[in-house]
Amino acid sequence: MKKIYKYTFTLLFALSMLFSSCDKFVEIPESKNQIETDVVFADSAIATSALLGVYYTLGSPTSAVSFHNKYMSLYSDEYLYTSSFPSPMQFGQSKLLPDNFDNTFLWNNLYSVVYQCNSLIEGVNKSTGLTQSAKTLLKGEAEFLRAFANFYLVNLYDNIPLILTTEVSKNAHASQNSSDLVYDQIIKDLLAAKSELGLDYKGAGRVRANSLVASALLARVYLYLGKWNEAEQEATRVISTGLYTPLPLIENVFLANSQETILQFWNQNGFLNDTYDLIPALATDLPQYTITPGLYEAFDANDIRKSHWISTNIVTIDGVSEAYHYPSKYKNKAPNAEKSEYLSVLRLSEQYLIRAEALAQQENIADAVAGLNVIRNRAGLLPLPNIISKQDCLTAIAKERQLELFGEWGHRFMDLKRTRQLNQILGPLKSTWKATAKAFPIPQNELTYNSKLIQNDGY
Amino acid sequence: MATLCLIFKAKAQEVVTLSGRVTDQQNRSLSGVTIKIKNTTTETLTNYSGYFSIICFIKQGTIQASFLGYKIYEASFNGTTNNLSIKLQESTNDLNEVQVIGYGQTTRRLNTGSVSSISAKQIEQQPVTNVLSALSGRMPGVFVQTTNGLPGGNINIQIRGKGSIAAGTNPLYIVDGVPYDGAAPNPTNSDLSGSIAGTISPLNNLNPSDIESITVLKDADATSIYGSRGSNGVVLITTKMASTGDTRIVFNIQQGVSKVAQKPKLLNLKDYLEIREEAFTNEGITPSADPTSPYYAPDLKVWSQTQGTDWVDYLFGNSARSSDLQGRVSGGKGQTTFSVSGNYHYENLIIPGSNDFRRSGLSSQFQHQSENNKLRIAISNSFTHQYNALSNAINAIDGTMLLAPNYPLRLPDGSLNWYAGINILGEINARSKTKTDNSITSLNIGYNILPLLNFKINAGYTKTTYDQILTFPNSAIPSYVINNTTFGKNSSQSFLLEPQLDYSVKLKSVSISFLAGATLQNRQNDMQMIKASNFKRESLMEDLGSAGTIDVRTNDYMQYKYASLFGRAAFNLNDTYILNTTIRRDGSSRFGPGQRFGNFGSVGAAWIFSNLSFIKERLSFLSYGKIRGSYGTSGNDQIGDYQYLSTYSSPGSNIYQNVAAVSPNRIANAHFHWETTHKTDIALELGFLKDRLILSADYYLNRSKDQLILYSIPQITGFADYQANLPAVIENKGLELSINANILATADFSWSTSFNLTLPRNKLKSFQDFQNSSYAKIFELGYDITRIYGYKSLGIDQATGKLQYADKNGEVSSIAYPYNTLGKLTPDYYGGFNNTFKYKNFELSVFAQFVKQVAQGGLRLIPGSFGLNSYNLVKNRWTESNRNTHIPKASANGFDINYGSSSENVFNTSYFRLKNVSLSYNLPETFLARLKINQLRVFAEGQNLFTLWNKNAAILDPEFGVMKSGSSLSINSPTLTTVVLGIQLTL
Repeated sequence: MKKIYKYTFTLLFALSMLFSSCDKFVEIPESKNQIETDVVFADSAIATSALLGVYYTLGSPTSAVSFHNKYMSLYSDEYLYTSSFPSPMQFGQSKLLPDNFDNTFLWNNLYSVVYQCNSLIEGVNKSTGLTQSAKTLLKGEAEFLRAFANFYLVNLYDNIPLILTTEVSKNAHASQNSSDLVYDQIIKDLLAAKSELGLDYKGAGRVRANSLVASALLARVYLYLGKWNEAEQEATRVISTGLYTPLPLIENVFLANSQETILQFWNQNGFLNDTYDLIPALATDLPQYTITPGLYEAFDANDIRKSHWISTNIVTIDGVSEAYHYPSKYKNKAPNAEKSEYLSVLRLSEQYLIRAEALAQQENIADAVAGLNVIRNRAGLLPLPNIISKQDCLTAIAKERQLELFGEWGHRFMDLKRTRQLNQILGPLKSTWKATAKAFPIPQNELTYNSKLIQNDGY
Repeated sequence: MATLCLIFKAKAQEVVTLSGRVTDQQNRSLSGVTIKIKNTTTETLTNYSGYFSIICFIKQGTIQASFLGYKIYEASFNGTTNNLSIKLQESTNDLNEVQVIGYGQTTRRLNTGSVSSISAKQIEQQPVTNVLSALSGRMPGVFVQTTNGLPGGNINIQIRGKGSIAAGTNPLYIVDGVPYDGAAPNPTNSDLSGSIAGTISPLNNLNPSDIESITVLKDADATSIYGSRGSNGVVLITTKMASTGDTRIVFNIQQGVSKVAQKPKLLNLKDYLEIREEAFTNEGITPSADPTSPYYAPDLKVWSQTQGTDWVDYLFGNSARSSDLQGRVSGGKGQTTFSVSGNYHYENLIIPGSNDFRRSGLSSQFQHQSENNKLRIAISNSFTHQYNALSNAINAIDGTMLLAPNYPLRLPDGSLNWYAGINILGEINARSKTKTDNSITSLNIGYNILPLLNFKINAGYTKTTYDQILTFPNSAIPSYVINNTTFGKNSSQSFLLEPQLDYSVKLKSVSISFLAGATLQNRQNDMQMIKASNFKRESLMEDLGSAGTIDVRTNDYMQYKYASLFGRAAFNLNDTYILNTTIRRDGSSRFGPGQRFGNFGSVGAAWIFSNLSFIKERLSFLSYGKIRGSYGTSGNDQIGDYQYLSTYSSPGSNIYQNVAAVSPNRIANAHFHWETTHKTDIALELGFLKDRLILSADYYLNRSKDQLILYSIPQITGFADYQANLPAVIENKGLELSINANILATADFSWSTSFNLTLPRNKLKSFQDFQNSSYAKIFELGYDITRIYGYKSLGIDQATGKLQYADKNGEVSSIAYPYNTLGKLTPDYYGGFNNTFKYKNFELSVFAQFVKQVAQGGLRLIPGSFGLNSYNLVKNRWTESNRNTHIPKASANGFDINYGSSSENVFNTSYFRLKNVSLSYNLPETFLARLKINQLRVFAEGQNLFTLWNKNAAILDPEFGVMKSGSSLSINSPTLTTVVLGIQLTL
């Protein structure tokens, strides 16, 4: 018996020794590929790579945001879809289902950007390891990116919750805010970014926000809100730096670091994956996305943009040949080191058009037309006379926006929306158009998991 | 002190020797039979020809012979006895059969917990690739769902209902005492897991014929010893051990042919076109041949109107074959035994393209016992190599099956037609190759410190590596997709150390046994993935150097540590009153500091009331009666590693401005802790007519709270979910019945039958602040958590021919409510029915299983919508002349977006399936003896031979329902009917 006790006790003793330092047995070393959040914001190099992570989320060739340009063009009157995937088909009919895959992807992508910006701002604020100047710069860029995401969210979905923290317990039950409140925040963020950031671009290329980039987006925001004077001033600030003028040749607009670039999204290989969808492999293939007859005919025959930004395939089906036009602003389909293409986000032409519209609205027709003519001139078009009516001037600006900015960032849709012309223009073109299509549906999952969210009308 | 004196006394006494031979009823020697002197630890094994010799220190006692699959033999002895002749009786449902339990063994008679098992024999009768398939329908309370018909595909197994909402419903798998990771290997690697091969079940690494028994532990009494990991039940897999005897060589060769068991019924070309035409007419629009028109209808305007393809036949019309080759050599003399076995399995698929699955394995075992029987060492090794080469045709099954019947695979110029986004002639060129290497080593050392005190240590090492290549060359993809290859490597290694001490003592009529032990486990996972694209040549798709761009390069490391202490005490009074208690304290690195440790425990008791003299005398027909009950807790830590940490990392593709950018990994939650399941079980077991009829009924009630789940959240939070404890109580309760009967047993003919039935119920019992939670719309308080929700159809509006849907209150409304209850996935009941007949050397076993359930079907769009063919049932659509229907009117314009997620798409998928028929014949021994062959068995087996079900349901097969795009489980090939012929030769 004694022996038994002895052995038992020895074992129990050994076991209890083992477990006296219990925690040690389940202690795991720091992960080899994950960095704890406190560490990220203790060092400016890692904090910067967290900031670049936001750019990547927003602007990588596979992000929803950059993919979305073509869908937005289907949704308005720029492209037609000839293939059979349900999601783009719904965009073509301007009739999105609440579970539309690409719509959900876009929403998630933009809110992921918002989260990362909030996390960055909170991390920077709490950080003790970063210098004050590093903090200001990181914060400024994060504010710009947050404003950018919120700008698209509010324009596409109308009623969105404004998320300003990373607190899940709060965010999971957030309700929608008025668009005025969202715009106030966008302006606040952009003004902060404008003052916090410098005039220079950080790192190589023009792929990160600076003070002028903030101004350029601010000019657009003011234009959308009808604050003509402010819009004019911000646009002028950008144009007058001389950094972006003169406008480059049409064929160079979308090259990496082209002269008129205010902001591009960097990519590793010098091409956008999207060109695979837009540019057919063979000259005899039916393009998946064709230019609508309306857009094609809106171009003057001698408009250089028509020949450089639109291509044509002759497709023969059952002996009948038909010409199909497709967008080709970006041309690279493989790595191209000499003529790299980056996705253009903000470019000077838009600033000329913003300033022209703001000036025209303030009855300064002559200056408005002068700006417009800069764009027309590059496109090989004759200048407009500067003695036209305000209405004609605005119509000319709207048409120039349609031609210059087609296929880019949903400009056409948002222009029609802000000028309240959606029903008038899209109604006759699409039998499936409904007035409620002015706002995209809130993705179904959001409504499922957050009972406070209310679906937009018509869905 | 008394015991110690006894021992000394015993030593002073004379030594008694017992020897003899053990055979079966046919006088064939049985080797490896455990010979034990009851109530002592003296034991030995029979040798190659069934002989044994054992020395013990007590003069009188009971000698016991036990062998899995045979009834335990007991006889008393008095002094040295030689030439004992022990004949073991085969047991079909014997109560004294050895029952494997957690960290030990007992018998069915004395067991206090709820446990089910199947033997090697039942496994061998079934031609299955994954051994878990063999459990299907055989055990009450165990629901096995084959999620796809692919070789190597994943299998869902649920023990006593779905206790957890999201992840982590896998039971704990223990192979020869070593925990085995049952989760699919690459959940982090969505590019690979979501692609061709789908998730691959790690249990495929086990060769079914190497398995001696599988035991499923269900209630708290059985599972609490596994503490934190026992919540979802425990599956104990025991492999075949070496046995002493003549060197025995067994060969097994089998060859099988498979065809699809069920073909879905889809519209033929004529019906399809008719509905399409009608769909346009109904909307007053004209189909167009212009591809830019919104009314473009190539199926009506461009493609052939007379010639079509039956896509179901095209996909599933072929047959597949399988081959198996197994060999085993075993033997040993005296103290040492060994066994070496090799196996090879091949199978291909019925679907087009080249799809092969190969598995080969080698395993060896070695056991040694010291001369004084004090030290025992057993080491076993198994190595398996799997090669799974599939084409992407698997991914295209769903899409291809539902193509318009006149869809041309080639355009007039001969090039592939990618209009639908898929083309099976292309998909077959996309390849997924997965090589899996798995090695399991386990070492058991036991030392008999004192006659009643044993020390044992288990050490195990498992390493699994997965090597995957996924190629999409230009010939496999439309021109608007960039060719690409994904390279993945994934390895996991796990080390386990488990010292144990057990002590048993018998004081008069009470026997008490104690077990104490500890577990230390350390697991590491390494993962690497590279995705590259823009390859210049098709032949160089596997050459990383030929890639134009590297899109993703990422690796991941995960480490998991686990430590625990456990103990068990069992009291047995007169083999009539039995009490069993277990306790376990566990720590897991998956929880944040301060939350890492949890305590679990259970109490189980049994009363074998048939031992009462009253019953023995008055109710002699009742040969056995037991009431048992248990209560206890167990947990679950099946969550990701590091979830409590707030971290950033580089996913591997996110380079910006030539810098590797980082982004947040998750919403961290430092507060989540163990989930606990409280399990209650009450059971009655009865044996009649000398145990020829055994009934057993279990009632169980499991309540899990603080479930660890990936709590779903709206994406406005930045993520789709985060790790948290669900503030809810989920209740699983049910009734399990099983009947085993030896209906006839004569010398030449015997008939035994077994039947089991489970009635499971699941409900969400309570949920803190339910209305404001993420789950307010998905679940309903008091309802099953497998709730199917969607639009509730209220039938056709006769004025429009369109379906009407209900609002929240069930009233017809133009704003349909998307969260109405449509049903639940938990079956109403399920069970199995087995009959085994033996006549002389013939044996026939017939097994059927049945389930009563509903499932969501494969209807997507209303009839006439372009893009998809539909099931035959839409022929009964609403028309002016066919008003009595609930299939809406055909329409080409706009889609009734609710249809696919409405109650019209929920079908009764109950079925009765003749799952397995196996017939075997043992050639007569007299004949074989002349050929110097011990045994020659020829057999034929059939799997899924016949099914009764509602063939009008829009599903592929009632066992796994419909294919759903988008999830990796969707990648499946339908259930197959397989017929296998084989020979087993024993030299």
